[in-house]
Amino acid sequence: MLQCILAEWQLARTRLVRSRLGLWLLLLVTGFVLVGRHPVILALDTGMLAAVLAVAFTAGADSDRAALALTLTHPTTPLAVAAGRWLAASSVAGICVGLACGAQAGRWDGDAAELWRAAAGGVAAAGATAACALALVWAGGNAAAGLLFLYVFVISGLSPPAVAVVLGGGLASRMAGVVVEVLPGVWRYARLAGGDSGAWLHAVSWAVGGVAAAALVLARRTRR
Amino acid sequence: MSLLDARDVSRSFGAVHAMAGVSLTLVPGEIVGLVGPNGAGKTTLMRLLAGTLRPDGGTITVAGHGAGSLHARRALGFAPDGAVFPPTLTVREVLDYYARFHAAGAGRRALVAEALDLGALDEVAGRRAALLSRGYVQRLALAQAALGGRRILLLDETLAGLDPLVRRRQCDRLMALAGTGVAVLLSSHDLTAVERLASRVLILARGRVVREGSMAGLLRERVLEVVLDAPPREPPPGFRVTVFGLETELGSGTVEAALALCRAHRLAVRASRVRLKSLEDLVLDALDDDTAR
Repeated sequence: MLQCILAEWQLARTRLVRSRLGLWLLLLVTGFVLVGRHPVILALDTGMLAAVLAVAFTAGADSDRAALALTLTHPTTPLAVAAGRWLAASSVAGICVGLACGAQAGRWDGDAAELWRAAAGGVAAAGATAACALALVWAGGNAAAGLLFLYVFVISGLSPPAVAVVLGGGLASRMAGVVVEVLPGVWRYARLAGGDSGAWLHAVSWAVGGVAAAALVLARRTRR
Repeated sequence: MSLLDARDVSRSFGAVHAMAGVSLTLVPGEIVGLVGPNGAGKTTLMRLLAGTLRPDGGTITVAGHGAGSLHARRALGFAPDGAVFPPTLTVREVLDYYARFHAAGAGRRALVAEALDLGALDEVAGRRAALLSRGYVQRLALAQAALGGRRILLLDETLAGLDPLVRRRQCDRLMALAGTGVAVLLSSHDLTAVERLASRVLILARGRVVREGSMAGLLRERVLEVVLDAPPREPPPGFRVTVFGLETELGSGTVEAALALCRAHRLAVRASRVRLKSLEDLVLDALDDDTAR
């Protein structure tokens, strides 16, 4: 199983240097560092958006999804493939979080431990987002990754009550509230750095459940 | 003992019966040809055997395990037509990626080297898989299918798109693989290659096996070709009209008896010759018979 996971993980390395993934991630990290937000938000934005990009570039393209059919004629399992791709995307996003927080450290005059906690929260949020993105792209392709990217960037900073205020009540407001409640979101994961158990449980649930859901989607797609 | 055993396998896609009660066995060291027109169900059968499709009915066992199980995928390699590989990897990296599922460390590197040799891919080992021509894609598909010492190979149009020299080499390699005990099911429209390689052939039409048998037995059948001065109004019983005159299967009959029948029908015979049936004849006959039913 570990060997199979590592096989998937190695795909990420070639994507970083042979596709536009590396360039996009560099732009993302540089942009967020230049904006100079609080380390917690910087780590979350960087980690979650980098995770979506990494999944889109390593698993979401039509050719990548088509290639999975041949992969599963070898002695591996959908769960191992999903876990390997998740690990790859999470690692890439984790490196981005590390780079962003490292760059921020020079300008940060607060407690160093706070910076470390922010980075840990960013990595955890990246893991949860990567799993969610993986399940979505294997079900709906990179269009789903695009929607998730926009959601994370634009909406997920708002909590459900804030969404209700913005949308002014009604069915659409309630539905948007449920989506923001369920999906990985900056508003919830901002509490990861503070050690909030609810936020950590949500992130871990998404990491585990998202990988399992992605494996199920893959199994259904490749053995019909 | 058979390595692969499929019994009464059927599969439908909505109202379309793609496969209806097909049975097939593969024993170690044999190459079986799978031929038939487009839409006959060859690829569906391959995918069912490889475990990427579930049958609606029937059973498939691969080296004693259910098709598609982890054990079955260790024993059976599949080279689909138009295989898609992870796009940013080079040929060597693609093989290394798949080899990781079979072995680790030095064993893995040895598998990659063997696979490069089997597919004659050394010259393109550093080229990206997404940029390969069709011939190289087919060779890479064969190389990855054979990784890990698999004992059964399902090859879907693996000889298509190859130049004559490479095709001959690939045929030789397949025969060498079969010589080591690997069972091969080769689906192809290249009937000359199938005739050369396969010891047994299955002719598939509309999801059913319409004819099967040993190649030696099937190609032993004799055909009498009769060249006429003028096209016949109506062929004698057992004859069919061709562009040059008539032809008939001799079966256990004699040439003299067949020619006498032509003369009895007042046909002006200019020349005649006896030839052995080709695989193409067999396929076309089987399809005609199936259509007539």
